[in-house]
Amino acid sequence: MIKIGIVGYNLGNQDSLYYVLKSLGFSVKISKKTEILSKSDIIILPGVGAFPQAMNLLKKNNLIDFLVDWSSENKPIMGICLGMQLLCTKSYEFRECNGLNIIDGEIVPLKKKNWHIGWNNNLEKVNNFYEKLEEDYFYFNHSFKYKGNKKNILSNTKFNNEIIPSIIKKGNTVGVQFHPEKSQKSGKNLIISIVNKLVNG
Amino acid sequence: MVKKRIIGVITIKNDIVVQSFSYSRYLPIGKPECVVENLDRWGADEILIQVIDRSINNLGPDFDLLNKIGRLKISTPIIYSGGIRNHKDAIEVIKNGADRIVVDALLRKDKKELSKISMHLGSQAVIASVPVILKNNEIYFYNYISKNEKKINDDYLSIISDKNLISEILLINKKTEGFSNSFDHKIISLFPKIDLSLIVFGGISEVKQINQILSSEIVSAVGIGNFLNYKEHSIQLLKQSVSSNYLRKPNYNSINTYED
Repeated sequence: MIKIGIVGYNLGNQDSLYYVLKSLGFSVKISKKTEILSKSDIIILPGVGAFPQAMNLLKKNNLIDFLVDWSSENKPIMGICLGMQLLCTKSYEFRECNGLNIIDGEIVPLKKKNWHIGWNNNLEKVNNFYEKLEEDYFYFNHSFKYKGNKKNILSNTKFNNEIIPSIIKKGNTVGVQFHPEKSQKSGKNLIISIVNKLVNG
Repeated sequence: MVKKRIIGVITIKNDIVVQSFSYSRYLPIGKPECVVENLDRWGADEILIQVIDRSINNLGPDFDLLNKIGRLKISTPIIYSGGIRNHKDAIEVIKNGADRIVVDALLRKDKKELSKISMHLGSQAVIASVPVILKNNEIYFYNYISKNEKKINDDYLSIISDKNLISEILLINKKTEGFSNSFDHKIISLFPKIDLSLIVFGGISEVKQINQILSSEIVSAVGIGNFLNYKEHSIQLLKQSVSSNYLRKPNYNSINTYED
């Protein structure tokens, strides 16, 4: 059974993610202790919140070095929504703030300070992460987006004529801008697919 | 293209789901967990849980309820409303399984706390509840704590339209809430023009009405309460009938079980 460690840094919907992952048959632990997280096959970094506050909490809980070292050993990480953004070099939410810099690129506001809230589909299917990526809808809720190396972008979505990277990847680290854990069957299938591919290759 | 949403609205009073009429008369429906499970199974785009006796009794958010709902393993986004007094409550509500929160009393009481909520959670997680009454072609804000109604003033408008604090407005037609096909479309056109999308709620039940409401560019979602409880698969049936341009296709696949 694949062991998933959810980074429990007290920001975000970690409990609902925990129960959904359990329902998919994974062994799941939420923790901020590196000795517990390090026993996982894959780390999931969740997030509902603001970027600077999240980075402060990761720092306060001594998780930054752990996550950077984990990725540098090419061990799997999946970031969800804000968790995806934290994987990047820096963000401009509220103020300029450094991220984990595991995936090079910046987090910038959507045009006209818009929010992208609701169910949207993806424009491209890449790396065969999920066969129905273009057909299925996923739940988005964010106002900042990834801007960076196109090589890191696996999939985009479109909102008000603006292209928004929806899945990014570098090495064995994947970030999804939407909430697969809140995207019903499509999201559950995507989680199973991403986790299995990152862990088992 | 992002789709508009059908939000299943669950009203809870004295720990049970109630059928509400203008937020002044109530009939019991049953256990919150059962209704949440149904809405998830039927593919609601979001579920709004509004616990209406928390703020008025200064009880704080209903964390026990959120915990119970979390254990259902549902994968539909949850919006929680009720009793949020400060940013600490808001953070705990999200940590306990909600994805977004609705604030009402805080909008008038404490802008500093609202700013703190936004700093911690991001404004995308914050929805402003604005209950209104339509009278003589004018919109009046309804304060459910003082039971008073008054015109929307500039101070209040500046808070609910502040994109640094709020991401969407939950515009509630207080009088028609709970009554079939009674939402007055004028509320949308008469509501002050602000650069935020509206979730509209209160007396929405019919396909023709939903199509008309969703055709407004400013509307991102409709909330439907009582009427979803009348028949099995009510959300799928609605989605089959409402214009497919607006909504995500119906979903028939969610499975829920309790954990032993």
